[in-house]
Amino acid sequence: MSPDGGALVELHGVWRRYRLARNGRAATLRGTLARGPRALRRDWFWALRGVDLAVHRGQATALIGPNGAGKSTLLRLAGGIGRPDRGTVRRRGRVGAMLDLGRELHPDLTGRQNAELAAVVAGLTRAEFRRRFAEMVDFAGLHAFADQPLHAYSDGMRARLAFSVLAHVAPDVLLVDEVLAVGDHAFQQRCIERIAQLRDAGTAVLFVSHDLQLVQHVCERAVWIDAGTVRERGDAVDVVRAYLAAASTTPAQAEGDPTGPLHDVALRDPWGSPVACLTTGQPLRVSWRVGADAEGRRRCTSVVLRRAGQDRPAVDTSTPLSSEAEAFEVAFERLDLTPGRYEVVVSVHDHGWAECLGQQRVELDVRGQGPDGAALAPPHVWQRRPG
Amino acid sequence: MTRAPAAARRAAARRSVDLAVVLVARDLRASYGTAALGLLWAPLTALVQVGVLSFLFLHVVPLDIPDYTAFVFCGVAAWQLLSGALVRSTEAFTDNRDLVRRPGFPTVVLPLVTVGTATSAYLLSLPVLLAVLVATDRLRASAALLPVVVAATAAVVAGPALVVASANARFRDVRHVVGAAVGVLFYLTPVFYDVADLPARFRWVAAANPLALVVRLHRQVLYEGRPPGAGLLAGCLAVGLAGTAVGLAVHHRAAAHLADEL
Repeated sequence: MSPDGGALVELHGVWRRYRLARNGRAATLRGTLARGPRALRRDWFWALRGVDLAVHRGQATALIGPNGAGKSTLLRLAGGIGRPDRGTVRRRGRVGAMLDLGRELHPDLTGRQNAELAAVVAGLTRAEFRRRFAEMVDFAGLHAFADQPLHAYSDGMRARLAFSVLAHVAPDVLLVDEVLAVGDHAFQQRCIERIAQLRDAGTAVLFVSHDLQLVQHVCERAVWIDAGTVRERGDAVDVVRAYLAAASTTPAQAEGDPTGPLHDVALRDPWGSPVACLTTGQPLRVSWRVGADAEGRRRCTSVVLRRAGQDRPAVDTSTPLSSEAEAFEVAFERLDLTPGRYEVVVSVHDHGWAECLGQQRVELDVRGQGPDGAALAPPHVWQRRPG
Repeated sequence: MTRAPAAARRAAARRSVDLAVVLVARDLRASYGTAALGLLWAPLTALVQVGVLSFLFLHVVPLDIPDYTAFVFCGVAAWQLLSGALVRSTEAFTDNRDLVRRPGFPTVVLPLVTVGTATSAYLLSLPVLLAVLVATDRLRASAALLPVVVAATAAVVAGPALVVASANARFRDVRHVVGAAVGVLFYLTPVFYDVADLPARFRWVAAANPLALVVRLHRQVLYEGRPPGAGLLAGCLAVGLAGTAVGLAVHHRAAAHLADEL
C-alpha cells in the first residue's frame, strides 16, 4: 500500500466557490439585462477553503463530514469536473466515477448501445468495449436484456448495467459518491466487493458515504471535511471515531436529567448520521424516546429550537402522548435559520403544561450566509422598479 | 506536466474520435429513432420545405430562377445544416448534464457533436438532393468537391455552437434568443432567393452574413456546377478560424463552473 513515487491525484491548497442562485432558479439573460449593472455583483459561497489531498495507488480514502461540508465538491474537483478557483489539481491516469449510477443512460437506446456510450465516456475505445462487453453483461446478469431498449429496464437493472460498465473499465482512480443508495442488498454487496477488488488491483479509490461502518470497511484512510476545510485526516477508524465524538449528542447529557423520562435525544441528517452542525436551509431530524409514566399521567412532548441565550423560540412544535413509553422523531424538511449557535430543547410536560417532567438540550451550530441579527434566512427574491 | 508519450496521445485521439462517433450515433438514434424508416425524416423535412418554397416562388411570386427547385434545395439543405447545428447546440450542455458531470469528460466535444449530428442529417438528405440535380441535368464533376464545402460549413458553425452552448448553460433563455435569431437569419440569408437579385444598397446584408457565404458555396458546387470560389472558401476559413478561436475561449472560461450551472 505504499505510494509508488507519487500520488495519482494531488490537490494543493484548493479553494472553490459557488455562485448563489438568486431565487433558486437558473439565471436568465432577460433577467440579468433587466437588472442592469447590479447583476454584475455576484453572491458567492466558498465551498472549499484551502484543501490539500493526495490519493495514492491501491489506497482507498473516505471523505466524511456533515452535509454541505464540501465532500462532493472535493470529489468532483479530484475527478477533473470543473476547475478550482485557487490552488492546483494534478491527476494521472484514467478516472472512473460512480456518481448517480445509471442517470446518464438513454431510455431509447438498447442496453448494448448504452453500455458502449458509457464505456467510451469512461475512457475505453470502441474496440476495447467490444472485447469486454460479454464480461460486463455477465457481471450485471442482463443476458436476456442486452438488446432491449432501456425503458424496459427496472431502476435496479439500470444501476447494475452502469456499475458493471464502470467496474470493467479498470480506472486508475475511482470516485464513489453514495453509490450504494440504489439497488438491492445483494447488488450492494457485490459493488463493495468489486470496489475492494479494484483497490487491491491498484486503483486509487475516493469514497464519499454517510454510512460510517461501510467507510471503515472499504477505506483504510479517511479525511474529515468540515465547512470546506480538513478537520482531521489519517487512519479511517481513528478519524471516524473523532468525527462521531465531535458530532455526537454529548451536550445533551451535560444539560439534562438522566433519571427523567427523556432518553436518546439525537440530531441527525436524513441519512441517520448524527449532526452537530448544519448549513442554512438543510434538513434536520430530531429523535428521542419518552419512558412510561409511573403515575399514569397523560402528557405532552415538544421540540423547541431557539438561538442560544434567547428566550423566544424560533421553532416550537408539540404533540400529546399517553402514559405509555413511546419513541418520536420530528423531521424538519429545511431549517432556514440564520447562522449562529442554537439549542434544541426536547421536553415532556404534563397534559395541562403545568409541570415540566423532563427536559434535555442539544447544541446546534448553524452555518451559512446571512445577517446574524435576523431570525430567518429563507430563500427569497428581490424585485424593484422606479416608483 | 510532462508530454504524454506518442502511444498515449494516439490512444487519446482514438478515444476522442470514438466518443464523437458514439455521441453522434446516440443523437441520431434519439432524434430519428432506431428504425430504418426513422432516418427518412431528415430528407422528408427538407423535402417539405423545398416543396412549400417551390410552390411559393414558382407559382405565387415567380422569381424567374431557372430550375428553381434544384436552386432552392441547395439552399435549404445548407440552411438546415447551419440552423440545425445552431439550434441544437444551445442545449448541448443543458441536455447532457450527466455527461458534463463525468470526470475527465471533454465537454468541448458536446457542441461539436451537434454540428456532427446536423452534418449527418444533411448527408441523409443528400441522395434526394442529388436525384433532383440529376433530374434537372445540373449535376457536374464539381459536386465531387462537396466534402470541402461541407467541411467549410462545419467550420463556420463550430465557433458559434460553442458560444451558444456555453451561454445557454449560464442563461437558460439563450436558446429562445437563438431560436428567434435563426428565424430572422433565414430571411437575411439567400436561401430561397439569389444574392444577385438583392438591390445594390442591400448587398452588404449578404456580404456581412457568414451563413450566406456557406449557402453560396453549396450552390456553386451543386447548382452552378463550378468549383468553389477561392474568395468564398477563404472567407469561410477566416470566419471558421476566428469563430472557433472565440468559441474555444468562451468554452474554456465556462468550463470551470459548467457542472455547477446545470
